[in-house]
Amino acid sequence: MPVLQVTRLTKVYAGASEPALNELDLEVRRGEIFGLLGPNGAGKTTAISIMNTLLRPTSGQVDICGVDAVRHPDRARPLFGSVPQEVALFERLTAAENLSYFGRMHGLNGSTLQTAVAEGLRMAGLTSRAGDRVETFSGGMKRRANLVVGILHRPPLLFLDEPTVGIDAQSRNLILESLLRLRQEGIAMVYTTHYMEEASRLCSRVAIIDRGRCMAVGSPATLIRQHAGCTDLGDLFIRLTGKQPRD
Amino acid sequence: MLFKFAFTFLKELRLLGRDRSGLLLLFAMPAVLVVVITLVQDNVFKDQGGTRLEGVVVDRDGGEVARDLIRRLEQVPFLALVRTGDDTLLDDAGVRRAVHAGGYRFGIVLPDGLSESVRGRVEEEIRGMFSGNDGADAPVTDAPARITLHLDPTMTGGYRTAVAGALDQAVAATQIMLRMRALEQGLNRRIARLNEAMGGMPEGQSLPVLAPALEDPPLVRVAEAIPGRGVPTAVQQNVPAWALFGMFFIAVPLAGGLIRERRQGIAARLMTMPVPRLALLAGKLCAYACVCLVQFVLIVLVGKWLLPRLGTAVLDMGDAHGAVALVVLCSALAATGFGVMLGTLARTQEQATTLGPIAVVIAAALGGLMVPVFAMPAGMQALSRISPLAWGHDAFMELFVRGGDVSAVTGQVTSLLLFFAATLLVSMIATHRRWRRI
Repeated sequence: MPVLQVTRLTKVYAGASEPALNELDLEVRRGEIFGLLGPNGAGKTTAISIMNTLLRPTSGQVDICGVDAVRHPDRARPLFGSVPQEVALFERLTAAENLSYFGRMHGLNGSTLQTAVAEGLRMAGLTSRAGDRVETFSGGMKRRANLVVGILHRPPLLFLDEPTVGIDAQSRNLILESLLRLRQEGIAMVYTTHYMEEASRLCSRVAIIDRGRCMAVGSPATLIRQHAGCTDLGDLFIRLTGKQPRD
Repeated sequence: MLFKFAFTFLKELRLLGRDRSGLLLLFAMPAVLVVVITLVQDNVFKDQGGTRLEGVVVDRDGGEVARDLIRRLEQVPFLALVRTGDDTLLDDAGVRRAVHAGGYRFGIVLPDGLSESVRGRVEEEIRGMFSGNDGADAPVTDAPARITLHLDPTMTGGYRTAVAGALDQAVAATQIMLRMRALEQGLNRRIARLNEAMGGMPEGQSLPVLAPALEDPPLVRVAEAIPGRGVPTAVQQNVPAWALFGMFFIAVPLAGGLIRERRQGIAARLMTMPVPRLALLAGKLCAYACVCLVQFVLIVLVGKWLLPRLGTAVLDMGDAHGAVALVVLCSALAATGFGVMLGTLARTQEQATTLGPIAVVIAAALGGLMVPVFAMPAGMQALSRISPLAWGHDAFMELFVRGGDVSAVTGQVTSLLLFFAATLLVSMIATHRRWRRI
């Protein structure tokens, strides 16, 4: 059984003439990092927002570990973690307090919570700064803390919406290595990014979407092979979505 | 759910505790306001005894009428008369300059020839009466003497009326006394002539000599019936007023927190977690409502302990302590509901930090926190009925001053709770519409 099954997912925003998402189909298996690639406005964030129960689709179905996430979002929420594009942390709380609070909201408590917080801090490389307020952190430190909040409860599925935007190479490397370790633990991930080299390094399969439609799905190597003249994922991306900038 | 509510509650308290500017706004601002404004208004609320308006009197007449007027004015408790020592030094223009420059609150110039003029007119009146003329159509020999009253242009209407009224009363009393005395003398002269014309009464009797009591004892006294627990003190007016003001200012940090959570994606993150939204909202509301309660206690302590040491009355909160607690709780809920609504409707921090304080100041002004509602024009009095601060303040005054109990504040408490419910409803609708739009 796939961890995530998305079927004919469509979203038309109120007042919009075209759908933001048009009959998207996806399937993500255990221990797989699935890349969702596309230019600005392609529908990546809309797709993630529907999959993580934040938005309701116009039509279509989302199943997480066999639970219909559209009909029963409350049942689906314990089954996934979410890492938003923004650093969604309380700036005036310390790293440990943030992790502890979000862990509790995920239903953790007692020694389970303490272990999860300690492990999260270690994974983010923030153990020595556990008692410092997030507002004193660098951008990279905040991004690392932002990531571990999503996996405190060790969910089978993790949604990551551009988790490495605007950070230094060291922090990005630490995050990518953490994600590879999580994959080894069997956590499935849906990952959106604008960095093609990241997608190539991490993702076992990618979907390139544009204007709400899925243009191609498959492993990066297979997709590159299928499109003559493309040497890497970046070439393929430009060929499928065009050179025109999207604002 | 209770577990998640409790930790959201604690998280909010922790966040607030680390917001120094927010704490300053919530605790220091109302405490300073209540001290300063109570001290400033203390005399206004006292029965005039605390406030003496200093004014200069220039007696250019030097006669009996001027002396009598000055004597009567000196007996007015809220007037402090200053004499220049040499009344020839200040003329009318000089007094006006001194008063307009702020040296005195008022100036009275008793003109040269005042006594002579008044005496002449009274005698003319009495002569007219005894000659069969009632004086109404007696020929006016000259224009009445004119006493000039100069008032400080910055003095408010109530004080102007009080000074002018005191002078009018003194003039009226002096006039009555002069008329009575002239009448008495005229009658006694006429009686003496009659006694003489009758050639003496039997057994040495004669027609009585009139000696009317001109001033004392008074025939009627006005006794002020003090309602309930007595007149309100500045402390009773200002402690609940500025406590409410501070409580409603909680809307600013509360709205700011909500907007920050929305813009930083924290709200969205929490909405993807297995936590009931009610637990998040209730945790936040309870934390801020608790802060409101602490604010109220702090301001009450200022009224009970600090202000009396600065010379004001001790805060008297009445006997209905349960009703006071109920009003405080309902006011706290109304304030936090307003904060949630502000945080939901405002798109940016700037909007919330601008609109929030403006709305609170307007509601406070309408609510009678700055100027009592009864002193407002009719239109503003009608508008004051829509201010939640007016409901809260009215309820506190009912309990503190009028000696009411919980039944006396049912209307205000219901209004505050309905306001709380309405703000939450508006917030829910706005949130729902926002999520539908995106």
